[in-house]
Amino acid sequence: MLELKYSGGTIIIKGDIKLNFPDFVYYDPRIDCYRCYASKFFELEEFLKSNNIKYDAKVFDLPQGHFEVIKHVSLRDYQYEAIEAWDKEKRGIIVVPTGAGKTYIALAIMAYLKVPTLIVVPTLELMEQWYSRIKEHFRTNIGLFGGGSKELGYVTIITYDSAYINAELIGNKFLFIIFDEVHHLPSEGFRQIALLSASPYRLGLTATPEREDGLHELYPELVGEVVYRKSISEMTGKYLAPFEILRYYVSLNDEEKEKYEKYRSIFKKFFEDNGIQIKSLDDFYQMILRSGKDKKAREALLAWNEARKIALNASAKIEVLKEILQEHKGERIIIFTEHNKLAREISSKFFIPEITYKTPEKERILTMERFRKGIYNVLVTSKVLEEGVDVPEANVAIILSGSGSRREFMQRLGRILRPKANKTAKLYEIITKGTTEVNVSYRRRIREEYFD
Amino acid sequence: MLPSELLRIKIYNNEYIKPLFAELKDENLFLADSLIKIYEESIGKRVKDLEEKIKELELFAEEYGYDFKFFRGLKTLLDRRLLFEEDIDVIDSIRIRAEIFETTNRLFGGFVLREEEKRKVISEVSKKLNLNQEQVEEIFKSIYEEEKKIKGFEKISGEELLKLYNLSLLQTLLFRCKKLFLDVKATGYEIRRLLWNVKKLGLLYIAEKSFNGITFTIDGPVSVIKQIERYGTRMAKIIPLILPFSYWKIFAYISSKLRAKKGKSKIYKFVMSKESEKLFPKYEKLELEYDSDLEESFAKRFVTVTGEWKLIREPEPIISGKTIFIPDFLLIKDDIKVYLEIIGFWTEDYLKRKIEKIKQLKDINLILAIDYSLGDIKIDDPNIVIIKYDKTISSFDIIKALRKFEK
Repeated sequence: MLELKYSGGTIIIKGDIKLNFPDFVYYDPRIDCYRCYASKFFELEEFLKSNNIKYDAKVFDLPQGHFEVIKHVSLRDYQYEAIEAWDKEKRGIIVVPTGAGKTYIALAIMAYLKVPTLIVVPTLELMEQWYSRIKEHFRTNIGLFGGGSKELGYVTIITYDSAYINAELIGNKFLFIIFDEVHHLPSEGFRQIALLSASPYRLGLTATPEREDGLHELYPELVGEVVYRKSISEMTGKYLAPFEILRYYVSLNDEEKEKYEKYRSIFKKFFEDNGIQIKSLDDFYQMILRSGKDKKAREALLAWNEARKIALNASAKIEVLKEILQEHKGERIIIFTEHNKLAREISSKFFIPEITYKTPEKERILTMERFRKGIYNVLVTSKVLEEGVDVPEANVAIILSGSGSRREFMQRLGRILRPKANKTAKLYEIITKGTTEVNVSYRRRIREEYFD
Repeated sequence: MLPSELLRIKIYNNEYIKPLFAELKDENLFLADSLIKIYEESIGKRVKDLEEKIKELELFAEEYGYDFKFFRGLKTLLDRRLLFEEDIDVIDSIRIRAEIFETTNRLFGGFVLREEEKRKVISEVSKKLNLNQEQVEEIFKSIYEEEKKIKGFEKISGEELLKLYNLSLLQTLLFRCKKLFLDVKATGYEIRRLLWNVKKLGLLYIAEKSFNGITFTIDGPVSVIKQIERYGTRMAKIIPLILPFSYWKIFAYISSKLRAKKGKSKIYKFVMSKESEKLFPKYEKLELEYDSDLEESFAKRFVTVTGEWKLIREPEPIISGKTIFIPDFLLIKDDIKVYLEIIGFWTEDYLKRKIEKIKQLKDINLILAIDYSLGDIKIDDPNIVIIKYDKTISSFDIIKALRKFEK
């Protein structure tokens, strides 16, 4: 008789039976037992069963609680298809565009599985969003983990960061695990959340599963293959709103231009003097490493950053912003900025509520709630709302971006705006002219990886 | 511990990694003292005032060739010693801000574009909340971090700061540790506490006899499947515990991207021993505490009963198999050594494991004092004598048992 026990994100196999274990089981000399990742528990069980080996498994320690459906989700055709595809293995990733209701797909699955469920989300905003959806559809005890709370419930919502830190603690408490925005999961640290978990049922949700670093190869091991995929073009018109993109170009004022040129010449000179060409993320990373020791490199890097800031925060943008606001007075508007500083400036200048990662949690919750209810019409935010969060009932988005636009983000944002009756949703982008030489092709990626 | 981006390291012979510790020399002390002075003078002021002063000093420091990561490291440690005015203000200000935004929405559809509109909102809100207009404007800004008022600062000397910095730097290096070896010599009590913490942090260890004492190899459950960085931060947390030991040496495998192939990391070695202890803060040796009243009363009575046998509490641990056994007492007379272990009320599982451990001990004289209620326990080893006790341990019984070892 073998004894299987969960321990620190792994399964310990105790007993005297000599066996040729499969590759994923390792001998652990420290405890003179065998061990494997908790995620391999069900494979291990299959192996033991097929070899007629008796075992006693003490793996799960599920949270007590009840689960009752109080409001059923009404599904669209493609949502049914997605669920059917997932249900074959009860593992895998569903890829649908933002705004296509992936949360509802997950809620429908939860409603028929009725098991302790863990939902892993990248941001606190998404945590709040899931919380209110679950409260709306189910009567159950909900636990929140992350952003100061640390509470396990029958259904628990947790951030990737907290899940990484507490992987051992949560690994044997749930039978169903949902990874929202699953493209975060394969990174070196976060993948441990999946490996250290024994949950048999796994669902990944995203609009963009591919990763530039190629790590999406790990999905089959972590959550399962992509089992369903629907692209934007297959859905436009029928399910998603039509929208219009309007671009405004502004110039730097003389003072800004002078400063911009000054900084630009510093880093340009550095690159030329040292024969450096920034061609990839790695080149840039090496440059940052180098800046730790090399004073000149650091100066160049700082100058590069300063030049970028000037371009992003050009004062003329505020003037254009005023015009756009005036035109849409009384409508539902969300303003996006690159930096917290600009979001704050807009907030205190125009008395528009702001949401940045520096906003106290209490105010953030209050602001989101009041925006949803219509007590506030306008909101300014610095990137935190970008991912996954339903932009609640807005028909105008204004992006105060740098000199290059992020097409993908614009597309996603456009799709989720909700147009007013017989009007198209409007998406404005305000761009600084004449600053495009700032490392055009790689700017976008670098910005995302290293700054803010 | 510091944010990883403030780690300063050097690589030797393409094999060894070492943090760039702050030497306790004048120029570093000067910088530390100057920074501390700014913090001390910031009490009663706002964070933004403090930040401004620090920025000035940082420019100066860079001019004079100090490493900015060193500067920021010291700043990070000092920031943690600040105390702020209570948060009640924040909740009030959230309410007042909400009032401002709501009024803006009601009167002007979501934003104020003209100064008159702004004044109108402020005057409405101030009337409604019974505050004057300056207060309203002040409170509007007050939720931001940099507007926080500094209430106090936990004092520290320049030298202490540098030592704290060095410890933090060492801990930060260990964030990326894949396997940690600690070679130590310490009392049973110190080892017990170390291992209690290792276990509490979800780490695993192997103990082995070494020339100087014991070597612990520390990593985590998953390490046997794959060497990962998951356990580094936890390993960092145990470092302060070993600093007061009478001997310690750290050996660690650290992964770093420095000088490695693009995008990959490389494993370097790190070594450091007690000789470097002057770099770090001084920790007091632990005061002995008794596990139970039973042990305490026995120790006190035994000392008065006999002068022949010397009683030592929490002696150095004994290695048994791959784990470690820390007996409660050691009794010494001339060159005879007898260990005494008291087994009281414990869970069955614990008892089973303990007996397993004891059975593995070889060539060690041991008296096992077992509570009556635990029933009969048999161990087939001529060097182990079992006695039973009821409520208190009789010194007389112990002396009787010791006679067997005197022959």
